[in-house]
Amino acid sequence: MFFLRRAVLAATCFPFFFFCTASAISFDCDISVSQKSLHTAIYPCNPTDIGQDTIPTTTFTDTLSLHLDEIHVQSTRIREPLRYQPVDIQLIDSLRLAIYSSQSISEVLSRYSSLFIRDNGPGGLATLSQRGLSASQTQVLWEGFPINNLSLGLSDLSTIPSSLFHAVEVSPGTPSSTFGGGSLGGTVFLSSSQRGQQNRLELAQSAGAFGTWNTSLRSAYSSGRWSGSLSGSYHTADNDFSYINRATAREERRTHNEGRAVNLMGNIAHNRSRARVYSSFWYFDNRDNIPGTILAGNPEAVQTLEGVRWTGRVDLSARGWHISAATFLESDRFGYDDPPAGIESRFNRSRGLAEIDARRPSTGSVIWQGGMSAGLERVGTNNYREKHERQMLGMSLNPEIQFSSWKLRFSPTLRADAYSGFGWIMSPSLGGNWEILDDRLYMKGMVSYDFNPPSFNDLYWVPGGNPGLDAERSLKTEGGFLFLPEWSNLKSLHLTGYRIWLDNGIYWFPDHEGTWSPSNVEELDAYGAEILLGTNWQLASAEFSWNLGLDWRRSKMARERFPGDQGVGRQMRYVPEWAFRSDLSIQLSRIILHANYRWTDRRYITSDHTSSLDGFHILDTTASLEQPFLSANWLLMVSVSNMLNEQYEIIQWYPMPGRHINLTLRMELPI
Amino acid sequence: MTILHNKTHHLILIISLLFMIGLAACSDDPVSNTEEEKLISMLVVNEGNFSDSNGSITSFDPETGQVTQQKFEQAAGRPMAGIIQTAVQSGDRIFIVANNTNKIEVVDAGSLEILGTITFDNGITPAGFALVDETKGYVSGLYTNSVSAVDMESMEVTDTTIEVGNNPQEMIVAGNHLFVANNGFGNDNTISIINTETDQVTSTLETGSGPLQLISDGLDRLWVVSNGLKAYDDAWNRDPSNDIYGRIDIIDISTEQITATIETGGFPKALSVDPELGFGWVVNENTVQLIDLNTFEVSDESFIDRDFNGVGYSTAENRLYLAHSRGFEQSGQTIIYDLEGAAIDSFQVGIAPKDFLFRVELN
Repeated sequence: MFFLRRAVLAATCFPFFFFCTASAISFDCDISVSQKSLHTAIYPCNPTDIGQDTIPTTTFTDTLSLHLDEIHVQSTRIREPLRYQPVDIQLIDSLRLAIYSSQSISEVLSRYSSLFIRDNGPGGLATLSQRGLSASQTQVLWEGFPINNLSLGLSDLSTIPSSLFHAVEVSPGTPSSTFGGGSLGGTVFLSSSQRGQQNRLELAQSAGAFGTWNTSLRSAYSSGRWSGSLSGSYHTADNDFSYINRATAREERRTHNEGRAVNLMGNIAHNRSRARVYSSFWYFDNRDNIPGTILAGNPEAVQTLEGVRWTGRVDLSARGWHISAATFLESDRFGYDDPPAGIESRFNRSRGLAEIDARRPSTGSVIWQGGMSAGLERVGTNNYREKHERQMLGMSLNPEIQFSSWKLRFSPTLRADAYSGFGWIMSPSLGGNWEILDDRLYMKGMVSYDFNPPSFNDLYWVPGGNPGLDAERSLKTEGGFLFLPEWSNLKSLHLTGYRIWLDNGIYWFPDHEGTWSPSNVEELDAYGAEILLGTNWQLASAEFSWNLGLDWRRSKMARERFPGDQGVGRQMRYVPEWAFRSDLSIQLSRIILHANYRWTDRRYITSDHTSSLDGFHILDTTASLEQPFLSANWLLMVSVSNMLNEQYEIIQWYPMPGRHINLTLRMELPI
Repeated sequence: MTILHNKTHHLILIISLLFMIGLAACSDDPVSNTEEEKLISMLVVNEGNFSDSNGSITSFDPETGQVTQQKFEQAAGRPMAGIIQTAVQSGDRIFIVANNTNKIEVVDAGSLEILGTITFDNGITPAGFALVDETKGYVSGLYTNSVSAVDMESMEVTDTTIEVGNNPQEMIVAGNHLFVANNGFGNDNTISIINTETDQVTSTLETGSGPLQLISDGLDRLWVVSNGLKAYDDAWNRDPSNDIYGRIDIIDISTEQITATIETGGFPKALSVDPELGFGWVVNENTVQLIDLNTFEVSDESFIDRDFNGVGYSTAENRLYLAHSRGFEQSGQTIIYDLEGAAIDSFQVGIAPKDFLFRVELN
């Protein structure tokens, strides 16, 4: 392990060295950084807008401003346009993020992706489930680095504001060979870096039901080779909505549910002809009262989370190679206090990751690329016996192979990771894309053997943690078609099927002494299909854009976890078998109307299906008016959420709010 | 205490037990059934999963074999909503004690229709309940280390609070005294005795560690099951060398003194007795042990080899009902055994079954 520690240290320092010396390296070729600014669009880039490697423009003028660059697919590390990717990627653009800019990223993902968000309600925990797997089995990445918290291995999406990001990619098929362990269920890639932004200052103020206030700032400035942006948000909410308590059949009001969140993110980049240096930081400070279930009387629990993330990246070209080196540092402090229960929990978590990738573009059929990564993770808490740390070292080779005459693309990858806890793990993958009809029909697929390391809580929680745990493993397959017709109003059609065999899954269960303890006993078989349809058409002066998504997912236990396990062969808890979503946008001159409908099937709350929560229908609507005034561009947006006033729970005993309204006024000032 | 050590003795116990069954059937003894008992219904108390608060009641009709899940929800029109700590039957009423929701649902013992709900918004996490009469009851506060009086007419907790030991759980009223098991999660070993007229603690008895269950056998004796203590060191490593095994203490109710102790070994968690037969059955780790109630001898051979959560003895059928949990995410199971330890039936129940309530009528 000494060697591993040294290697990690060396690799972590490398990008700093690179950063300092980049300008001294002589270059013999140029990095192509094409910039394209789209001054007008109506939600032009959505999960179905993948027809071109650049975002298609529309004919509208002066609508919600969009300043997007060429789409760089980041969630697969395969530098091909979306249509040539071997896996299906759902891209959520900045305009969709802007609609819910006063809310968390969980609100956006629940509306525009196939993810199922396990939402405990406003002010509460929100985690994701992708293709029937758990939150800890999907990587949430910021600029390519994992931000799932080290102790639990998952991300609370309710603490991540959507206003900080420029784009989100949901890529369920991304294998472990791409970003390392943790992506049994793929990745969710949050991107805050943005090239080609117009110089501007944007201020927004939102006010909504249940005492919700959100103030946000976004600015971008570039001059010469330098560019930078600063974003921030301050969010407070009482979250004191009323609901019908099923346990008492009475209308009650949520209490002890106030929350406050401060987020600040800054980016700076220096662009040279053959190099780009980029750095970004993200400060966050959350404080939330935790109400618990609606059954709990007089809750007093309080949760705090404060921390900072920083990433630095250097991209350069030299001697026919493109090289990218990056470092990621993260440190946070998490606290949870529940005086009546006598709980006082403290976590200090830190993580340092570094990676370097080399790529040699070629006019031939093979583009060689590979990389190395290293990491150090550390958690100290009063819930473990001592402070623990883990070192990782990874190496990957991921060439891209093209057979132009056959219009075939392959992306084989072999990655080897060494963990200080359990040694070496290999994670191979093979992806392919076949352009069956020119620019119209594509067949794609990916097969991978992935892994997910146990979380620190799994390993070291007292009592019960099991330091002997192995990594979870899965064999993941995905295949499908992408159809991009030019005729009629149909814009795109995605058909994707998948199957995941998970083995060695970590499952907590009371041992023979009654202590809950994890072990590698879970074997899961998850399969399903996803259909995504995108259309747009014009009627008189109105432009319509309509996207439909249908998900069918089966996720069932394949083997007994203990004698007499009744969950075998049955759908997993809190995994809806069916989900449907429809997203309609209408633009009338300066007015944009938006409606998002989604239906989620029932969720079983017991593994033997003796109890379940009903399915639910949600309709959210938004109307916005954009108007120039006093050299600024003003936007007024009115949102009505849960228009049908559905009374529902996503997680049992955590009610969701009924119909409620939110107003946003935004000013955008060119600078 | 004499412990039986071999199979012969175990066989003797079984033969004695069967002999006693026959004897009880034709005995003129006042404590025996002069009228034939008939089991008309049996309720299974299912604790439920903590995070789901889905404790439930399952009913079983022994005549038809019909099993009804979520019996409370069916009768009340709303979910039970809570973790059921215990359910106490008193006359025609059942008091279902639930935490997480911190309430006691008072229901009709036959139909389970709600007669009232006692709620606790004053920091009390109810763990046990005992009814004194139509006007007064007591509730134990799991984290307040106290017992509070309940006005049964208004169904509200009163200001009368009596300090007892640590983490009091089950309680039972005998005469004008309330016996309180101070469980302390294994770190207490006392029974507080409270005068129900003065609401004063009159004495405190020392039992095994972690008194958990109190059973009156109708013969002026109180059986106290103590769960023991599973020890951990300061770093939360298991420390078996400092374990304290559980045991059963027998209290003479009249004298309020412990008259005998049965060293069961292990960590017993549930007991059911039949004083007419003179036998009791203890769920102890992965076994069910047989106890002679008269000699206080416990068989060192397992009566049934299986892990259970609770046990109930049906005097009307001479059968044992044992609660088998399959974790907290799925239904448990009740397995019915005859007195020779042979399984004769089983049925699915709610999540984490732990106790049984029997309703009998006399023919």
